[in-house]
Amino acid sequence: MVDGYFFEDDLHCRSELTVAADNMFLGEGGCVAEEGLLEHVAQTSAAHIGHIRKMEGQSVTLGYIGDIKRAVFTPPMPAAGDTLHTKLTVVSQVGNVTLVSAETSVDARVVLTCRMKLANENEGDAR
Amino acid sequence: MKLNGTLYQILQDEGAAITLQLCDSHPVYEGHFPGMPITPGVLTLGMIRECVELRTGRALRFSSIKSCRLAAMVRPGDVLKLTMDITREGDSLKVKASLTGAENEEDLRLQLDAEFL
Amino acid sequence: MEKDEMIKKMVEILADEFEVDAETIQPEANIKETMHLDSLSLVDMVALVNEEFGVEIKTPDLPTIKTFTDLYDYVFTRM
Repeated sequence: MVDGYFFEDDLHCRSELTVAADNMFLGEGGCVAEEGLLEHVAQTSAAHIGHIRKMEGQSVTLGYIGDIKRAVFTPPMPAAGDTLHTKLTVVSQVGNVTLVSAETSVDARVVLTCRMKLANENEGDAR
Repeated sequence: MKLNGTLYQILQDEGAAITLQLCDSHPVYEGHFPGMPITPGVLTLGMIRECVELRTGRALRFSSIKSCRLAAMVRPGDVLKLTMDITREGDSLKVKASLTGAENEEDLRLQLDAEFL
Repeated sequence: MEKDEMIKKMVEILADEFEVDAETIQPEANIKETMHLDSLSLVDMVALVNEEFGVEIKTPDLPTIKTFTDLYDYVFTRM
């Protein structure tokens, strides 16, 4: 759920996603469900964390959403063909938990702002 | 996106709580993750939304999420209990929900404090 | 900012964020136990301290910050 990932610096990145007609989060009204926007933010975060780990010579491990806070959705939600633009900021990081703040827009209109924590597995964690 | 019947099945629906079971297979597990199926947090959230819709009898969308804590993994086959506390405020619904093991309420998987429209 | 003033502000924002009674935030109390912090909410505390006081708590320093006094000293010396 990320077509383009653009690294800015360790604490900032941007991403894009054009909603495909067969996106699994499309609802009956033809719009992406709010959960889909959150998944896009989670995958943007995962791409950023993975990119930094790689640059630091660490292996990329699986990541999970730990929590979501202060999420505000502003309708209308995007439809198939719309392109989402996400700006992500790393707010803080402790060990393998990263707190990010994200803003997702469609045509310069903000549709989602939220904070999210991503927990990455430690290298060599038992699967 | 409809998850009832594909991602989960409702086993029992009584009062404030719904007992449900995650289906053994769903296309999402092919990628999440290969050989180690874990239910994506956002789909667990979608499942809760559908249960709130079932309870209120209308289609809903999230307008805000004050907090959603994904305390522990949800996996295919899990039998879980969803407890919902729904309050109407004008057009909007304030929902506090917790998803725990069906037999063990100490086994918290997800806790949600959100508003729906 | 004087240290007393910093401590007062810290107690206020921590009590508010972690929904505990400000009375329980005693100087020698254990931070994690008092505010029921786990690995996720610990990140919230670090973010809050950074946003409110402009002090970044480094991950390797965290194990040395056990009590509220440890936290006040850490933050005050770096403000």
